[in-house]
Amino acid sequence: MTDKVGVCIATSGPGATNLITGIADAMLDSIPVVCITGQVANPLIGTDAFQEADIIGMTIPITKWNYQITDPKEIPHILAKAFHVAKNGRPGPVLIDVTKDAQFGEFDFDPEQLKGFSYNTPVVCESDLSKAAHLINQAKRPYILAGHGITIANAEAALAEFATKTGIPVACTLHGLSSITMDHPLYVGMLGMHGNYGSNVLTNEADLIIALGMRFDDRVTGNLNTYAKNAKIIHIDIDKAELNKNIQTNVAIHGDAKEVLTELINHVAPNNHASWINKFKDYYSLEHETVMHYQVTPQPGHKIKMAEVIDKLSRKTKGNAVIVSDVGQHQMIAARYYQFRNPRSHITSGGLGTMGFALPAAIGAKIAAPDREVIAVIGDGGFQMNIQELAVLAQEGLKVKILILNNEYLGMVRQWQELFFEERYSFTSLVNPDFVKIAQAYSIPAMRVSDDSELNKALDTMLDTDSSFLLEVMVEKQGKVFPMVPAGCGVGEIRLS
Amino acid sequence: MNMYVISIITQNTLNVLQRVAGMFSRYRINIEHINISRHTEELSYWNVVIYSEDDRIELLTKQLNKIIELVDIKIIDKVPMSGQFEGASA
Repeated sequence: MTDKVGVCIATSGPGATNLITGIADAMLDSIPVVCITGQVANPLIGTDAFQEADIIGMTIPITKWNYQITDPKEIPHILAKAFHVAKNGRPGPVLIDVTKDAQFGEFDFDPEQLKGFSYNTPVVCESDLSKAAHLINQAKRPYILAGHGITIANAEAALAEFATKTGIPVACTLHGLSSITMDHPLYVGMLGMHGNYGSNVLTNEADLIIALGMRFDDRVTGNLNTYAKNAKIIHIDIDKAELNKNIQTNVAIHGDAKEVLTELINHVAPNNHASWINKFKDYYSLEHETVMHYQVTPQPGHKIKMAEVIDKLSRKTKGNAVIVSDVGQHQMIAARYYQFRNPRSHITSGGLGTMGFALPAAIGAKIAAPDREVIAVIGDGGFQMNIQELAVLAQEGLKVKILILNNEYLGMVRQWQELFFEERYSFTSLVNPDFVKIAQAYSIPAMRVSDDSELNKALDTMLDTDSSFLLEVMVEKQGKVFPMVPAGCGVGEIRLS
Repeated sequence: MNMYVISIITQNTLNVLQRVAGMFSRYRINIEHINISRHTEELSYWNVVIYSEDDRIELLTKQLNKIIELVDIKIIDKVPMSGQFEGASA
């Protein structure tokens, strides 16, 4: 929500180990966070003392940096370094473990201990900019792939200016969503396994790909052997290790997305690519006719569809809400059907795909941006994975709206079992508790709708309520998310049904 | 498959062995030989011998470079291996 570093504190042993999934999530999604954990006193380390856990050893692979403080005098310098490491370069999690004796110790604080940390973004080589600009100016079918790096670098305006000047279409990764307003004439959709049809298929027709702050994740590329074979590649990323990792580039620029785009704008010629963009429009029309129109239009006698709920929510909030989604079918539907209008409006667990993410993340989002409408969109499966966080909502009086899209299944896994495992359903059907009663037990107003005719009113009630609110929508039980690039297939093999 | 001799300089701190060695195991590269010695009070010099493919070693060195305590890393020797050594790396 902001570019500030998040902080969390946990006690030693189980408190610390319970952070592990969240830390791994932050590592994969480049979220700056400093985790401070308690540890047994220094003389007890290694004795299997009560609530002792080697949290440093456990979190080395999932943190940018970690450190154990045993001397209280280290606290100012190490914490200053922790924030410096978490925030700069590619952001990520840092864990500082503080032994009990260090916590209780005393020292003379010297502000000088906080100094000595400076960060300069990588210097971009002029010849790389010239090479990139040359490729961009020559390209007939150029294509911008915008990732999370745009948001992290606060490069939304630079992206829009660059795209507008060059006339190049822009697609977003899951975490790139909301880095460009979806009503921008050059926005052509979401990339990836459940992204838009044209934005995936036309990757293979592009003659130039300009990848901005994205990492060619396997969910975006599908089979690398058939990915973007007609395109030259310009890859811009703050993490050098991402360059030439999955895709070999023609120009690799190690740098901050905003700084590079701002420079690059001065090197490129104004252009437009009308006939190329028309191809995206044609594919969009096809996808709209075969998938989207059907998904958002109520069908008499049928249950509510997830897409219909998100479409209505998007219209009612005018695309201005912050959507925090969990993981699964509802996540892909929220990403596909909510029309994001503002930066920093889409929060989800992308890299790690952590079910249970949405409720606590929405609480964090609301605290970070109290003036924005924050809506947690959650499936019935994921909701129970961190349902206890309702207590925090109630205790802090936070006005977070919770929208449960309940299909009584782990829907995405069920979809895979249907499509790829000969309908051998295994542990995907759920018997849920009464979520409305549970919310009410926390004094959170709640209601459930099952009928299309009640949906509009229920959404209005949720949005108009001046407190937290839980709305459970009973949706089509065996709906599937399409389009879909089957695992192991190329993006050109994306299926509409 | 090539044999690589890698020279690394790190800060001489607790856990640095685990950080660096852990990165090799993450990429499923077995360490055939390792020597670490304190160079100054602050710095340790490492000499590591591994077998790997070119693309893996490039990825590995980039990831190793992200370790905060790592000061420098260089591949100082690369020896193409004949078939009998293939599979030496996990």
